[in-house]
Amino acid sequence: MTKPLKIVIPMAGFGSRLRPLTWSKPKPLVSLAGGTVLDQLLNMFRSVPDFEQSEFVFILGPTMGEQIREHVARHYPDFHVDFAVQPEMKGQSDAFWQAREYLHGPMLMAFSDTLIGNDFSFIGNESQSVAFVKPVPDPRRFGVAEVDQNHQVLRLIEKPQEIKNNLAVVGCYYFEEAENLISAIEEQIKRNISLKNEFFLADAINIMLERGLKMRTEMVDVWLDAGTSEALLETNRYLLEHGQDNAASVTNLEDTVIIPPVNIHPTARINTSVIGPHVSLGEGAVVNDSTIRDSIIGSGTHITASLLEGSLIGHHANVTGQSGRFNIGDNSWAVR
Amino acid sequence: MEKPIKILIPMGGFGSRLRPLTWSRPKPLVSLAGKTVIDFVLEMFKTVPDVESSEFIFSVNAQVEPQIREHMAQHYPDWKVQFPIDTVMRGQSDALWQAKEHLNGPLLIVFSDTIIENDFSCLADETADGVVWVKPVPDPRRFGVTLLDEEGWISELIEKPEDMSNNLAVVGCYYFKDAAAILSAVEEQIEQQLFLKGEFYLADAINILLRRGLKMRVEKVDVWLDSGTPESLLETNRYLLEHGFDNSSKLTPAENTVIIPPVFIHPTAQVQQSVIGPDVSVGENVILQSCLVRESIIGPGSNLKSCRLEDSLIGHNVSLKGQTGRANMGDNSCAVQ
Repeated sequence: MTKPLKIVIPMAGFGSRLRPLTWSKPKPLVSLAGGTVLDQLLNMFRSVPDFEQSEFVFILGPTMGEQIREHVARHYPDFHVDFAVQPEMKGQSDAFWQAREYLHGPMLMAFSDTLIGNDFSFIGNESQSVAFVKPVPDPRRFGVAEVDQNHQVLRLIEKPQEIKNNLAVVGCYYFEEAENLISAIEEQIKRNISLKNEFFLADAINIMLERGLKMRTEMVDVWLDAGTSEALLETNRYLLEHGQDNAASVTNLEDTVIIPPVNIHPTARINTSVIGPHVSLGEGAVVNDSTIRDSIIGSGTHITASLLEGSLIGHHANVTGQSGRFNIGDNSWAVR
Repeated sequence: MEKPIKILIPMGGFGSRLRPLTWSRPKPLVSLAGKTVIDFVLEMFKTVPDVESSEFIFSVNAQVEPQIREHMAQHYPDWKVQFPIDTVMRGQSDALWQAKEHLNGPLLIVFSDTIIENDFSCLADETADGVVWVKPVPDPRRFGVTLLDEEGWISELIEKPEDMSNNLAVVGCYYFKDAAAILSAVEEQIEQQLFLKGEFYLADAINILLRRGLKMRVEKVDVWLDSGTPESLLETNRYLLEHGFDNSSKLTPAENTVIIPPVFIHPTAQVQQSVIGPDVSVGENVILQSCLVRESIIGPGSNLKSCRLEDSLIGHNVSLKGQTGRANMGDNSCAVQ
């Protein structure tokens, strides 16, 4: 490729389905499998050709964007990241429109709660645009790609009424020329093709297809969602089972059983407990006399004499003498 | 008085000591004794002379402004309220400075987590240039205090005094006969960069005024309620329920339920097979089933089943089942046994 690949991640949404965790942080910074959702997302792009040369464009919302800038500065100081801000929630296409000054040449994009298990190395030899799709049993609550017999996309259809076409678009696209997308969005905004005051990307892509864009589908095997608490726990389980487990390297344990897969931060301290399977334990977490499975525990959180499963616990929380399934945000406590 | 008093309430703080409740709402909108903190702050101005003509100035940051504006529109549609945005959040004096275009004539300043029992009608005949409300406290070392001269006028404000000889703690309520005077002192404070840890404190501006010879007196209060931490919020809740905000006598008896006064239970709340009280506030549309709750605030829309809670702060739309103990949980939390 002559121009560097742009990897674009719109992350302006409020993450309201992940409350209470997202009251205090943007969705990309919610903890997941030993990192954050954003860390896992960036990880999935590592197979793109010349990954180190790629230029990231993060589109932030009007609030809490500062936290994402700080996270990037701290954890990815060597990455080339440009930030754009979407001041109003006017939809996906508007997000790209706000970032248009950074969008040139080949562009890969994924929404911030979409994780897929694909190898992106083919992009180096790709000669057309690509929509990543996954066949689903019931496509009626998704957007789908209508294709011809050569897997060429004819158009995108939002929430189809019939189920014969089941290729759901997962929210990840490759565009050969970002400029073409921006020009289609310009037309979309001019013609006010919107739904409930939001400009959807699918409509801009349909404009590109009408103009003769060549776009093929690429099948996705693994499509993980991090948009709801149930989906986040499921994605946590998957990632721990596929490479993020660090049970073998865990030390600092006293009278404790670890049931892999787990991801336990090296600074976490655990005493007289059973941890796992499918537990992520954050930096500086302290667990005593507890059993935890299938849960994500934030950094600095103390769990004492508790039995937790299926739980999302934020940072600096305290749970003592409790049992059950918890979904509580940063600085919460429940103490017996 | 020629002009009605303007009432400035700085509410730009993040309320970090009241997390997790303040992750989703500004401190003035945290639930308290059947209402919110700001409702009780506003309640105490009822005795201000000619309060109907008063203009309120809420200094807010951009993040919380929409929620506070909505609360005022819903509950106080006829009030005159300005919402100057405090963009930089450099402390109390700076909040005043950012709001300067709205400030002239007599001015009352109250911090948004200060609730005092006081009769403000005395301000109609006030002769001093300013008034600082104080409460005698046993140990003044963690407060700001007022130093008085022989005639009883304030000579200086001292932050966190090292000795105990002067115990008149400043509660966070001030009156200035002329807003222009305090604004000019704030201007001098900012010019001289008199700040501490990046914040301009009002006490330093008042000390400038005192050095210029302005006459300020103290007004003592007996009741000073703080709502800045979980403990003080629960204590203030208890005090308010014990002093006029209990509604247990108006409640229609709930099914198999014992109410131990004082409590505030919103008429839309559904309570079944529970023992509620003392000192419990239950918000709009709360459902309590088979619960024992005492000394707690349960926010609107929350649903609790088979829980035994005490000393707890539960936000809006929280769902709890089978929990025991003390809890501090923000909006939309969930804990199910």
